Amino acid sequence: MFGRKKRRLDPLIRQLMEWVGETNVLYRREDLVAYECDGFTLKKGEARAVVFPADTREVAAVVRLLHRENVPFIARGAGTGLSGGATPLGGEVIISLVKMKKLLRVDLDNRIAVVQPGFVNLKLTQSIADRGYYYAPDPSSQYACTIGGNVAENAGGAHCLKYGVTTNHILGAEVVLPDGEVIRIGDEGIPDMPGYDLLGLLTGSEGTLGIVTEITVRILKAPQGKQTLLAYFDDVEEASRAVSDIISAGILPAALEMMDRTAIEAVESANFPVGHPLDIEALLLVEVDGIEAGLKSQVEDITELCRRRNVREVKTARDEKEAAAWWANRKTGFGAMGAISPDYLVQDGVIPRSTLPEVLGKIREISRDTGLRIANIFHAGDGNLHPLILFDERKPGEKERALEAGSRCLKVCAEVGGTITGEHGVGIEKREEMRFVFTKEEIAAQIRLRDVFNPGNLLNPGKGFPQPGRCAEVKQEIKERRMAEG
Amino acid sequence: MDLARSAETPSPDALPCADGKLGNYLSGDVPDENKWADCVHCGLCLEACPTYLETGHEHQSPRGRVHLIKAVAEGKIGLNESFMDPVFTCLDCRACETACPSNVQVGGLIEEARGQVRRAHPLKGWKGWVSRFFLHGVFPHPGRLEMLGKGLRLLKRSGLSSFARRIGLMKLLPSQLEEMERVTPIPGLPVRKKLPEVVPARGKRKERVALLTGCVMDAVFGDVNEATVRVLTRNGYEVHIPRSQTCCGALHVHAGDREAGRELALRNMEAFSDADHVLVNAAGCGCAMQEYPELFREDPALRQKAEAFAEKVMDVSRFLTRYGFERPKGEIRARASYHDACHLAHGQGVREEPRWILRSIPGLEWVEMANADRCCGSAGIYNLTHPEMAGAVLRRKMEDVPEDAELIPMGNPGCMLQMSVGVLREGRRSKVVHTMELLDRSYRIGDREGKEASSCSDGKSGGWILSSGN
Amino acid sequence: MTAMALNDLLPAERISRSESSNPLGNSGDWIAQPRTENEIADLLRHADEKGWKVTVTGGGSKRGYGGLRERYDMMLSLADLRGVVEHRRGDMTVTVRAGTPIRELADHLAEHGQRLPCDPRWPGTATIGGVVAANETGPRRLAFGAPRDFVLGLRVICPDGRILRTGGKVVKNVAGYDMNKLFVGSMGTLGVMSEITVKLRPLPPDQCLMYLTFPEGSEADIEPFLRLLRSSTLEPFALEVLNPVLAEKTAGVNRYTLAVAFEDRSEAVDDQVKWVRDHLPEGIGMEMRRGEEALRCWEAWAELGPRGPEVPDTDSPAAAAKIGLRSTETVSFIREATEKASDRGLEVFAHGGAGHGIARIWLRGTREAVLPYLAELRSVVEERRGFLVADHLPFEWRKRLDVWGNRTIPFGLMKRIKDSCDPNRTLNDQRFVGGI
Ligand SMILES: Cc1cc2nc3c(=O)[nH]c(=O)nc-3n(C[C@H](O)[C@H](O)[C@H](O)COP(=O)(O)OP(=O)(O)OC[C@H]3O[C@@H](n4cnc5c(N)ncnc54)[C@H](O)[C@@H]3O)c2cc1C
Ligand code: SF4
Ligand code: SF4
Repeated sequence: MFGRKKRRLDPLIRQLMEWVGETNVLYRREDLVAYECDGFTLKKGEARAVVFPADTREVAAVVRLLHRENVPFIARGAGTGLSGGATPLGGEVIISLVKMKKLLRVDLDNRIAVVQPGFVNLKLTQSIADRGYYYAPDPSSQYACTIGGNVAENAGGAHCLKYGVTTNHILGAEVVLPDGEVIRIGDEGIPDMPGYDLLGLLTGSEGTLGIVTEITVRILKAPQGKQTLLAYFDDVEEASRAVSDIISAGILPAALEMMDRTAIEAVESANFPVGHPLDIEALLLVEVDGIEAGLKSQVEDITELCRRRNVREVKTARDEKEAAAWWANRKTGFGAMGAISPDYLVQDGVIPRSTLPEVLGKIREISRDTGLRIANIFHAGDGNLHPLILFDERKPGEKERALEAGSRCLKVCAEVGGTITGEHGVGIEKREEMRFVFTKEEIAAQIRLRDVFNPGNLLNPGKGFPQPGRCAEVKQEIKERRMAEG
Repeated sequence: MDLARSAETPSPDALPCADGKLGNYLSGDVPDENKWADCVHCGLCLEACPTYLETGHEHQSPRGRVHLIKAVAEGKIGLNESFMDPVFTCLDCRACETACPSNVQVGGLIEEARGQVRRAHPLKGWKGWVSRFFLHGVFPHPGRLEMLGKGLRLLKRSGLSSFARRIGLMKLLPSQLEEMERVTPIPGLPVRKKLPEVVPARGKRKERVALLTGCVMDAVFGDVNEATVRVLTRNGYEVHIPRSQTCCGALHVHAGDREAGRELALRNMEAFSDADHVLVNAAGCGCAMQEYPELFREDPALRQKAEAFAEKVMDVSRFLTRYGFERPKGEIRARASYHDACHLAHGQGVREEPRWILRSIPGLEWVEMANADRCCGSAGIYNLTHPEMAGAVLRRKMEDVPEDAELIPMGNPGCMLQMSVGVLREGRRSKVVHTMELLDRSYRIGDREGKEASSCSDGKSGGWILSSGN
Repeated sequence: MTAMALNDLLPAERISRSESSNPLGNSGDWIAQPRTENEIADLLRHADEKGWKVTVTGGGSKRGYGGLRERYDMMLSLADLRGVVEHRRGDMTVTVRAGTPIRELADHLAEHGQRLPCDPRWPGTATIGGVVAANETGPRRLAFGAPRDFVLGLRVICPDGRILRTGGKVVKNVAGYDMNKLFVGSMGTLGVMSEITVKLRPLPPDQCLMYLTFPEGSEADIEPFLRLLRSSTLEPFALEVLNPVLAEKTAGVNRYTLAVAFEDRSEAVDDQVKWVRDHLPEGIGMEMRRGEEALRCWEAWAELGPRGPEVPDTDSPAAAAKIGLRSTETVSFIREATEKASDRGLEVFAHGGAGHGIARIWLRGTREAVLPYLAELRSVVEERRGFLVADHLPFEWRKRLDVWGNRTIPFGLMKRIKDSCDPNRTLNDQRFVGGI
């Protein structure tokens, strides 16, 4: 019976099966439905198939086949992306890297680790923690997201204020280019190899320049000491001013996070509550780390700075366990929105830290205008805002209003000299908003770069840039206007 | 926008019923919309899910399963074979619920979806046979279970089973059943047979409790029940063992037979109607009973009754730590590594209590197991219906069990069987035990030593022996 | 193109004809000193249309770094394009014109308690543009990272005169490709940077620099001590191994020396100094510079080694190289480089970061002596999968020794990048790897 079924199979599927084995190709509609979107759920599309290669050779073979057959394809990690990077637009073959999830090598002395792309972020730290090391980039999705996905999105995390984002921790990679050629960049974690910084270009390219099949990352020695503080404020503005004060005082915390009242309500009604008071307007979660001897005075300084901003209460975590609970509460913040709203749309704008009070005010205005609640959880230290727009997709019109609110938030960020995304990427979601920050020429220059790597645009097409259709429309409009004027 | 539209257009082979909420579901007991609406598709549950870890397939993950359940409601896909597979491959281990920041009740949804699938496609073949045989032929009938236990006892005692094994007779059974037979202990007598309906407290009575004896527990691990009763009574609790109690229905609900589940639930709610505390030493049963209200979500009156009942249900370890237990004195010198049964840790949030109890036992050397709360693959009769997946999950579990653990205590009979298979397969020397057995044993050793090692009733002094028969 | 045409683009006093040549090559027939972006754009567009070859320079400190052309049609000097555009103190970012010398910027920032996390050579001469174009780092790279890590945004003029912005002004940004990476370290072969926005760090409350000198015969103790230090929880800012002649210049002791630096609050610096004292093997000398003194040591350090603008000694010119290795191989490399030099009767200055794996050497000598030495070192390094880039050589020598080495890199892709950004090969033609 199976034989008969197989004969009816799409020949492409059969060829894919020849490369990766029957059980490593999904093609039935029911199986594909699960791949119709990533963590960004507002746009969905149907893939043609999903393949699970086991190694670089298989990835390259699959890519060569698809390239030859002119079939578009997408790399996918854990699918926790928040901008639709791994979402098919229709008809793509998804190359899932989750079966390439080995930790290949750890060299503590040289402080590098080599992983396959499907290796889960948190696993790396877990595998080396007993020897006192860790991997610094810690997106809140680190329980599930893959390092391959992190490279593609240049993921950040709470601790990138002090330690930098993914691009600062990637030292080498093996990459399958969109025509199937396999290249190696960087070797043994040695920095500054002669030539252009291909690694830097690939990091954050949202899976449109190549498929990363092996990654060399920098690992760090866990800090000698760590202190975690929680500061409760009755006023959002005071809290944001405290953030600026801390940084201006020359303190570089490992993390400096903020949540507003709505966000606190969500995390407290979700799965990891820690007992934050529900009547405060904002909280700051601050972590300082480093040489033990230098921490006490830093904690004192921060406490004092918060006091000057009329903090209601500042407390220091009693032990690791308490700090971990605070962090779990913070890191599951996005998901916690499910506890107070059926759907949420998270935005990811970045602003100069000093404009925080102004921007938060404008976001409140947007919330009022659209009638949607907006919670704010964000990396305050680096000005990376995550307004979470709460809505119910089942209510007619709410989704559209949420999208509008999201776009307006980004506009505000762009207007104060910031940008539209600090870590989640453009994907499908923010394609049009790219125009808030880049001119047509600047976008064209980026597309030219894409064409160098991905000339046929088969790898993850339609992501990251304003849609050509719209571009043409705009061009047409300009032409018409000119004609009218001329 | 085009995208969204094309995705929202259902394919012709899965056209929904007119009612948008129902989608392609059969009417009645439809997977709860509010449960899937809670899911924000964040994926934080992925790495907690044993079947996702094995397959890497999104539709075999909690998020994927919830998404599929939603897709049926949206009319995107039908209630067919390809939907059935992920829904039934779920171990119902609830690890995803612990991981999920937004409190999605994945387990409940899956059970509701299974109910739908079973109504649409009744089981056939070997799986159908196993399922019918156990779910309808055996579990709801204490008498038949006892017969099974008796048979097992006979088989084991007579040495017939090892004889049969030698001549390869047991090979006629599916291998997973054969292994299961090898690891089952020589069952003690079921307490429901052996003990009176009310067992008085030793000393002053502190509290009256009722005990669910459970079907597998009582038939296969009757000794564990006895140990539990001894522990309770010595701590001043009067134990009631209602004769009219029956199977908790967990297996039926897991298998999608929600109707049978409801029937059993009603019988138990009746049987335990007088009790203030319904204590359970089998995690799966305790969890199922706490979830009786879910079965009656469409009947407000019964639902309320079920809620009141569920309030009374408690794992015996939690009860002891809440209401007090005497510190055991008997030394058990062994290295122990505790396994969190899914339905204790994830299902009921019981994690610390068994650890407190066990760590109060003198001499016990404690080794924390990595990923202690990861499923062992037992999941009711899952190891019979999905042997490959169960085997893979078990293999992964055994990787986390410290090689040098002499004792592996836990709080669920299903896990005890499965972990024993694991120990057998890996050729380990560890002994799988129930938390209550260890506590009971420590008490008894303590008592014996208290009596200055005079005439000791327990003849077996050397080494740990699982069934500490009397 | 004639002077007439150029004079239309720039006032006469900022454009001149130059016949003089320089042994380091990379000269220009015309020298243009634009002061604005638009001037640069006009000059480039003009050149691009006419098929001229243009070289770009800041302070000229890297004139001997790469390049297979002795002369270009025009040298674009950005020395006049200087000054801070915008310093957002509270945001800890600064936007500065590309021709601003590093020291000038540092002085400005220090007034506000801030600094550029970068300690390149010749801060008085080197401009921020040059440092970024070469992705240049110093010993404290261990804590600072490299320009690729701190550049937030750029304004770049393309060879055809288009002006692009890359990145932005905020510390996190993933909108579009990270186009900054295209230009950082590209040796000016893809575009001319006019403005650079960088991330700043606070000046440290306290700092120290310890020189640990290993007496002859105890060199074998360096590596185990380093291993101990690397696996500790200390947070050194620098961990440089110096060979004896260099140590003589910096620490005043002719011995293999380890330079260890800490920057932190005083208590934390004290604590780390104590750790080093407690763990130091017996017989190892220790010198410590604290606070201002340490700062001055670093300043002096940066002025060692050859640089472009010096009038080179033609008999015995200077050569320098940058080496990348696994950090655990730094000590053995520094020793090997020193020994192999003395075998050849050469005197080499060498230091290497035992925490980041970038080493530098420089020496003087005849071509016949120096080039084979560099080639030998290179083969040693490449065998260990590292690289050796000769980042300061007279022009004639560069024709004989490939500045960039023989490591296989994805050259095809790089060439396509060059072709896409600079199809007429107008900018810094043949200055970079593989003749790009
Ligand atoms: C609850 C929640 C919290 C989050 N918090 C953060 C946060 O704090 N910081 C942050 O930066 N992000 C955060 N994210 C976003 C997301 O987790 C990150 O973008 C992450 O890096 C995505 O990894 P992934 O494995 O899920 O990749 P996917 O979502 O599968 O893919 C993301 C993109 O990468 C591409 N890709 C994946 N693997 C490869 C590969 N091997 N080679 C080439 N391209 C590839 C895909 O094509 C796609 O474009 C969060 C997401 C969620 C749901
Ligand atoms: S219950 Fe267990 S097997 Fe089922 S989806 Fe959740 S984690 Fe996976
Ligand atoms: S963790 Fe919860 S909300 Fe997130 S995808 Fe899984 S079930 Fe949905």
